[in-house]
Amino acid sequence: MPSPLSDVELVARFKEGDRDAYGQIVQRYQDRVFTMAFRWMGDRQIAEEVAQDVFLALFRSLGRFRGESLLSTWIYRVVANHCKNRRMYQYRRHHDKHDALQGTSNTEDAPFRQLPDPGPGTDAPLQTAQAGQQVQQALGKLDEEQRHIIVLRDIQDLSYDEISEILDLPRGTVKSRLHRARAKLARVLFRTLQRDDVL
Amino acid sequence: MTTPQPHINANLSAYLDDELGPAEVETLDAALAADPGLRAQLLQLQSVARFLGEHGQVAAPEGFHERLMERVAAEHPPPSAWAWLRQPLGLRLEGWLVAAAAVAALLLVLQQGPAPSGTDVDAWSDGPPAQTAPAAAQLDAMAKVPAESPSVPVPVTEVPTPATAVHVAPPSGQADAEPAIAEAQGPDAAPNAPADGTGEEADVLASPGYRYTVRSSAPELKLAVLRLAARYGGATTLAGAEISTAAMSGPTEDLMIHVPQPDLTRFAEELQRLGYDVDKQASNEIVRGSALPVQIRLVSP
Repeated sequence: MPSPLSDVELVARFKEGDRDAYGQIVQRYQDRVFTMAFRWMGDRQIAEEVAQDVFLALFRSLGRFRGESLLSTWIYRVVANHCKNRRMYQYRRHHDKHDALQGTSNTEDAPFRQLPDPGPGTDAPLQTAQAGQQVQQALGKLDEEQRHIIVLRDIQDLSYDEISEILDLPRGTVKSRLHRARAKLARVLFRTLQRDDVL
Repeated sequence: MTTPQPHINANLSAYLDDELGPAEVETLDAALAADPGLRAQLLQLQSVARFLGEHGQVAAPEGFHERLMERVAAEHPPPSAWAWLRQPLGLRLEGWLVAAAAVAALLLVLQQGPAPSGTDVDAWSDGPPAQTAPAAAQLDAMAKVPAESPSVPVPVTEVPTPATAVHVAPPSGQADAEPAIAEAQGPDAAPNAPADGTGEEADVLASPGYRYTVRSSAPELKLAVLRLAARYGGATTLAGAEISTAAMSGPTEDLMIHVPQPDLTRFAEELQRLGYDVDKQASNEIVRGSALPVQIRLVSP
């Protein structure tokens, strides 16, 4: 069986007009992109929309990708920007509605959803859907900035330098925010997970 | 248990991630050896990181890839070999193709004599040029039927034979010898025949054909689509039969045309702008030729 093509090779083929190469890139990154969008945004529907938009944007701009950074880093940057834009849009919409309908609440547009029960099977590849929910609940307790970093580090397994490049933050900021995020998650998770004998 | 210094404490995560320099690692190793509380804290952080790593991944929803590819295909129809040709040359070959098609159409008109009376071939000249005089003249005559009375059949005095029905000139300026439109036998006919008959041309272009399904109960549906089809592809047959009326003869009719590659996007945009419910599907068949077979299915519920 031939070894899979590298990202660089796939990009080169795409630039030569091979659309299958794009399909392979999508296949390679779709779970990572969806995971990042879902863990940041907290909603599967929104995460899918974001992920689709990210890959469409990728299709439009991949021809201009010059390979100055890793393709993965570039894709994560696009995801980050799309999520931030989406969050901004939600925030504005939430505030507009709030101004118009004082006293009404709209959980649909809340800045971060506190994990509605996604139902069985929604985290299919996870060993337990419950653990996946606990992850999301715990992430919901973090500041947005902390959440961004910890998802990139502990779920996406990126280095500090990659995170620094994706989020456009100094390395030291990544390091300190990550530590604070983990310490806070430890407090949140240990209360529930030790009880459930998960950790 | 001693209280660790804040900077040591803050380095615990980076220590776990192997992101510290040798000097910092040495300092922290010493602190950990001396402080069980710090070791416990490190274990907690490690557990959190491991838990997230093990349970944080989520698979993309089922069908994600297919939905995405459909969107990509809709927004970016597969590139033709022209795009490949254009890039290295840095030239816009579409313009040449259009000009060549116009010249070929003009030659054809001159060969066949003046258009039938009551028709105005020039009336179409501001649109995409790839059409033949007979088809244009015929459909032009139909287009003159007021939309308010579309049920009035439009007599077509001169129906062109399939052999002259669709004529998209290849870039070489030579006329097609074998129009594929005559081979389309209905909605499911595979649009896989070369639009030209020249092997050389067939090596230049390769792309799937398309089917557009247009749904509307508007009485002028057929006439509006025919006008457009005539401008772009010299449509002359509906469901394999020659066009003789602008009124729908049943709930579904199929129109086969061939649209020059460079005009395809503009054609699709104009079809959308008609305001009807339009679906687009790419054929599984790869077609070679200067013009793509496009099937338009009219559905009038």
